[in-house]
Amino acid sequence: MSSLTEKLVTVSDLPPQHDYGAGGRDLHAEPMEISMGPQHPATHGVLQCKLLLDGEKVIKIDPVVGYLHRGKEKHAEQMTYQQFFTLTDRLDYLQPLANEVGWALCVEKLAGIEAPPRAQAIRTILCEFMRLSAHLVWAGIGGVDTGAVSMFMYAFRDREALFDLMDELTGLRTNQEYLRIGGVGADLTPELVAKMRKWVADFPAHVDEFELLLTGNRIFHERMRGVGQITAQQAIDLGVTGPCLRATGVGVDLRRARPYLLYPQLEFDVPVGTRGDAFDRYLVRIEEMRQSAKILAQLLDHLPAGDWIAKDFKNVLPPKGRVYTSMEEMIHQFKTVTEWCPPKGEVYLATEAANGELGYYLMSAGASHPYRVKIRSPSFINLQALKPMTLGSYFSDIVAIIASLHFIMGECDR
Amino acid sequence: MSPETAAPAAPPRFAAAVANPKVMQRSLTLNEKLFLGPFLKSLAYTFSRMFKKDVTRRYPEQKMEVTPTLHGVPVLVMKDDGSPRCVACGLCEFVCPPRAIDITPGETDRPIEREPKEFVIDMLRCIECSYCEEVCPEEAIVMSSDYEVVGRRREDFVWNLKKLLKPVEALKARIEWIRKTYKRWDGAADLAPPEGGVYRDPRWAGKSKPAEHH
Amino acid sequence: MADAPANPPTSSSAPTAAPPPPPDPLAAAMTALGAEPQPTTQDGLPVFRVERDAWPSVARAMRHDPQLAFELLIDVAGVDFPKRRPRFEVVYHLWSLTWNKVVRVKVGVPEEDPQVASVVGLWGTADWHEREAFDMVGVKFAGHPDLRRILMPDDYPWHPLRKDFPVEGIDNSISYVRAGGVLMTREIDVDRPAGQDRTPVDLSRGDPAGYSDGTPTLPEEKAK
Repeated sequence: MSSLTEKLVTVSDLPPQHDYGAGGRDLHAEPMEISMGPQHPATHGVLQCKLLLDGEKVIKIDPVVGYLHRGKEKHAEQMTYQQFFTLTDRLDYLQPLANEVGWALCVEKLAGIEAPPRAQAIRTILCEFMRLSAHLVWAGIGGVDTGAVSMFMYAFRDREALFDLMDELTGLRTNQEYLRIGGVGADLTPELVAKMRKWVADFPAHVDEFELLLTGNRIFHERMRGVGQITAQQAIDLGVTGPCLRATGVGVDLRRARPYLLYPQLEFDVPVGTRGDAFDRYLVRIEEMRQSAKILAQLLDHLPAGDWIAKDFKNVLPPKGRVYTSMEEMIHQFKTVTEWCPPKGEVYLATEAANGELGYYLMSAGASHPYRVKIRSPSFINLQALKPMTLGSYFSDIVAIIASLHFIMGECDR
Repeated sequence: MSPETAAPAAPPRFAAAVANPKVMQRSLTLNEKLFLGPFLKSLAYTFSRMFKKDVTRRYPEQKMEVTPTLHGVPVLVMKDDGSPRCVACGLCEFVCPPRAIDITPGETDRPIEREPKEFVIDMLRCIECSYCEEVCPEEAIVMSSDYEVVGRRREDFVWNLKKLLKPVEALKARIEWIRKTYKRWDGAADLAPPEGGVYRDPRWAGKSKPAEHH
Repeated sequence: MADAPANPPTSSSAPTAAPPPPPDPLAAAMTALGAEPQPTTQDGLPVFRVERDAWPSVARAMRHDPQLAFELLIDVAGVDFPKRRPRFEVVYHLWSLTWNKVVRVKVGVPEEDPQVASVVGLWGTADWHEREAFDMVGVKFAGHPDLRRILMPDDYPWHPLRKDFPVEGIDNSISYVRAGGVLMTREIDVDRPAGQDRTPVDLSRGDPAGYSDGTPTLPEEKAK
């Protein structure tokens, strides 16, 4: 176990430009080594921050990750492609279907399968619902972490309604395992589309409620303005993507830069910030929630009709009725479940998850299980920005910075 | 980019960035800086929520509405004579992502190839993904609407064949959902399985056992 | 080509002579640096293979040359090919925001000397990427300021994503259910040397037939 202090560090050992506050160098002070986490309500999961504090100021920070490492990439080498959907769900567990979409697109690209337009539309709808789901948690937890407890309740009230919609569509509130290679697991009924449409129409008013509580709130400003500032150059150098990068002013959004699904046909704005601090990250995410509602309204109004899974007997399970009674479909069922093998090759495909660029690098050797899956997890990379953001700031700012970075340890550790 | 000339002209900074991002800026107004006005406004708003209809569902007195779409735990369908529809093909065991299903197949006197001698699902491992139900070629394993599985010991969560068998009447709604959904695309013939749930090859009709294999 | 991706062949036998496609400036620049273009795969990304010794200069050019301008290092993945020589491969995905291009660069790392130059000086994000590649596959990155494990505990003795590491792990207790519903727990004696309670390691499981690129196999196999 490495320690941040090899020996007792006294004031005279620290660099001369370090600000010691009242008392200056005449006051004998010792830096304090604190381990924040891994069991901590404000670290967004099991993150351990080893801190060296001078009073309240952070001198050194060392984030330790890996407490939620479940070996997904190793498991992928033993599982079939369809089974791996269950593991992708549990990456960023706030937005399960968005992770699944990335994996489905990656495998379909490898195998040369194309999902029908209705399936693509349903997947786009679910991506945006999941973005809202993740941002609602961020809004709620960000509020709670900075002291605004009722914010949590409002955000989760909306999320419960979203869960009910997911329950009606997929049968599960979260970790839905709803996507299939070639399409989705079941169809959207017209009643459900109407319910979704109503929820989406009511949603911007709820975002106004969140803004009423936080955006003009002086306490929130004091806690977030100027906190965790990072320049665009630093952000790109650190590989930060997603809202944290856009808050620095760089308008890079994978839905526009490397488009996928139906995004080229949709109208939406990409919000950017100006200063790259925690408050700009807040503004960017709130606006992204509004833009997601706008995208959903467009999609739900113009949902294409047709098949929701590819009509492809070699790659998709055949109709159940035929499996019960016909030998050929029964054989296809067995072979597709147990021996479905995509061709040899490699695919890297990234989607814009709520936290940034979620990429799957899939290497296939032509077997029924992948040869290697590397998950490019945005939370893992964005967490590297914690160090430059927190050095020199106060201890209580760490909580605000962690809340604004919004990494999810499930995705970080895989 | 023309191949003959020298290096192409540099594109505007960051071709990967959108051309017209929406720049978000917000500073506090004087009223907000004074804080008292907005403070009272948001306090009044939160206060007013006390008198609005609440959205809390008081579980367990109020339970959520159970639809056929809901994934409960998987159970085995029991035919009228008490035997399982399952023929121990092993597809559900193969596809189960958390490896929750464990089947011991065995020979049988019934006119089918084999049946499960023992069928164990560890509900602590089950994630209720319904892959087992989707791959089953016999409509033998079906998601029930039982989502409240409780027990005092780990062993209580390991369900064996006896505990898993449920009569087909209790699962009718879900079986209808399966047939409707796993038709997969319009135009696929809606072929319901024959009575008894087991495909009966007409070659064996009237015989008690399939022909001997040499 | 043995490694050609399983794409349907494009019809290059057009009756009229189509003009040749303009040479890709990216491929030209990379080839000039010493990177070897590889056939592209199903995602259409340009793929380059770079020799381990050439990697520092190629990386520097990729970062600083305005015609290449790969500002963002997306991903660094370590891959283990037990039957290949060199055994390990470090795969870099880079994104040029200026030109909006993504490329994949592969660097082979031999098992006898499992290290490659670190690119932390060029892309600060490589810090944790390289720590993870070291942790999972065991490739060391020369010049990395703080190369320690990141996901596994600091003193973990194995590299989990190598093909000879079992998915259930080593030296941990596994519990599983047997038929009949009896809960079984298998404890592994931590003092017993690794490998004794497992079936002998078969490196051939890692590389399915036909996936090797034809490089010579292990000396022991040749003797058979």
